Amino acid sequence: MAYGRLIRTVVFVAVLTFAGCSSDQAPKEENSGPKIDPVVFMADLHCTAVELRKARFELADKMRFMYDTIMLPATPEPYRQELQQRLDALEPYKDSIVGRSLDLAEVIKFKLDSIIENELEVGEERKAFDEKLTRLLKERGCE
Amino acid sequence: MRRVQSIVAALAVIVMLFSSCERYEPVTESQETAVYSGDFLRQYYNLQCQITKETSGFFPPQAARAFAYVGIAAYEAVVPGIDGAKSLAGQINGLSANALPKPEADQAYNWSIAANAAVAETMRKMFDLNLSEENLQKINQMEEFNYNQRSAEFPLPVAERSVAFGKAIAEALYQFSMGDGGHQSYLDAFQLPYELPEGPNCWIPTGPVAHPISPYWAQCRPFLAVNISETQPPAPKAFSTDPQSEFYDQAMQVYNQVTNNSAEEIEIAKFWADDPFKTCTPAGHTFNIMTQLLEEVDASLAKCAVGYAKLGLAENDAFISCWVSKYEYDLIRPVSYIHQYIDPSFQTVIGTPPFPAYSSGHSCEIGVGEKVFTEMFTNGDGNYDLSDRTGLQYGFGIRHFTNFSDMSLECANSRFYGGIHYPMDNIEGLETGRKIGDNVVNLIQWPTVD
Repeated sequence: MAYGRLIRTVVFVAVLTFAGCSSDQAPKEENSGPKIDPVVFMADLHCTAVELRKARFELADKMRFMYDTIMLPATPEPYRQELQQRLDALEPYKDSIVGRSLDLAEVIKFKLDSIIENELEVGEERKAFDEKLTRLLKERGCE
Repeated sequence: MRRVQSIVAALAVIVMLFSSCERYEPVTESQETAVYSGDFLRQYYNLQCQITKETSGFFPPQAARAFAYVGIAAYEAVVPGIDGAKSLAGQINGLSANALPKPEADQAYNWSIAANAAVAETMRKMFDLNLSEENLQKINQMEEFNYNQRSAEFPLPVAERSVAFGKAIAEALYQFSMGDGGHQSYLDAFQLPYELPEGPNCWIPTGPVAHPISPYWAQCRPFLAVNISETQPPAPKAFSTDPQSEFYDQAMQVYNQVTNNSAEEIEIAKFWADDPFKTCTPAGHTFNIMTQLLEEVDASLAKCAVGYAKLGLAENDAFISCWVSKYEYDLIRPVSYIHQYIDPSFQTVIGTPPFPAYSSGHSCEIGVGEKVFTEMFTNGDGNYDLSDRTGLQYGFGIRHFTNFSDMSLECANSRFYGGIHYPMDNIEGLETGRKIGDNVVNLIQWPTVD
């Protein structure tokens, strides 16, 4: 979790720093190396986020269904206790997956805000970005 | 020699010209709020969403309340700089006309600096005892960064006076908030002891949480009294286990929907549920949409402050109003009813939150969002090409809407697809929210801002 805090702090400071940069302070094109297509960059991040989302919902469902079984009056006491132990054992995994999800969410939010505000005009450009991203995610099976 | 002197003189003039270009005249008069950018306010709301997720005790009612006071603080810190604008003091329930500090006459202020101080201070006060050291530092860093950016062109006394005014607003609002019934409610979100009503129609726990959230929240003070007294839904369909009854039909509709959900409907249910573990609550999702809309119209500080205050007032009252009906009727959730009377193996798409069914909190809160967005970003028809990207960071796709009423209807229906609300919960919740949104927009004198 300390690593997660470090990541979050670094991202936060980066957000503050970049928020203060006006467009004329942006690095020149020729010095910034090959430019990565923002749609491709976002798709890379988003695909990881989709995997994490699926894992979170899968875990949430698993835990929820165990709770449901525990609460059923017909569930025998020994099985109820066993389910409770299995639920307790899932807690560290839950913390881990939530921590990773939050860290990635911050990175995505920061990058997305930066692209939207600095690289795309309101209207058609943003619409095209949304469509291209949605199409690429579909191609990659990240839905 | 004269030629050399001429060259030297010319150079001196050029140097003077250029040096005067670099100098600036410190701003010594108050400028209108609308000249300032609202970017930093949007950054604060992004941060508040993050802090809400990471701070214990912030369930939907508590989160909506915190968002509200931060919005009001922003508005009150900048309202003197909006031509013809009226303070909320004297307009909202319990806040008398002279309850908030006023700027000193004939003194210059920077309303951007004032808002920065007011918002940072109010955020600290709203999360207060449960605020982590890490998040406290984030607020402090954001406040310091914004101050340094804004104070450079202003004489120190102006900057300091503006900070003092912003902090005085925050303190006065905090004192006001302490009497609204929700003060530090994050420390005791379940408001125990609370005795669960008993009966076949009554709510029972649907998960590991044995107690419903905030059963006495209905006693909190709303910002507009009519938002509670004039917005209550009719009684829900009479409880019955008779398969021919209207109530049974409501449950059967949920059962049939969930067992026949399309992939799109499952996606919708999960998208609006936000996340099974960490979310800045449904109100936070709606504030995220507000933040996106304000960015899309390149809103000034004046528009941002008005927008966040309007939505904050409405969201706060939406949860109080909704909680009135939730605990007045204490209605059993679909999953509990279906398990007992229809199919014991029934499983919902998303987790059922721990409080009674009628009416739906999501529907109520998105109803106010629809009305506030329609008033602020359309000519009244609600038409807006919205791409809701707020879920991207959590692995959801972009959802598109062409009208804010489509957005709110989808959100309301998502609770039906998810299997956690009867259709009547969503229909009536949405109606309640829309009434509250209309009240906040129409019954308070807001300035017209671009």
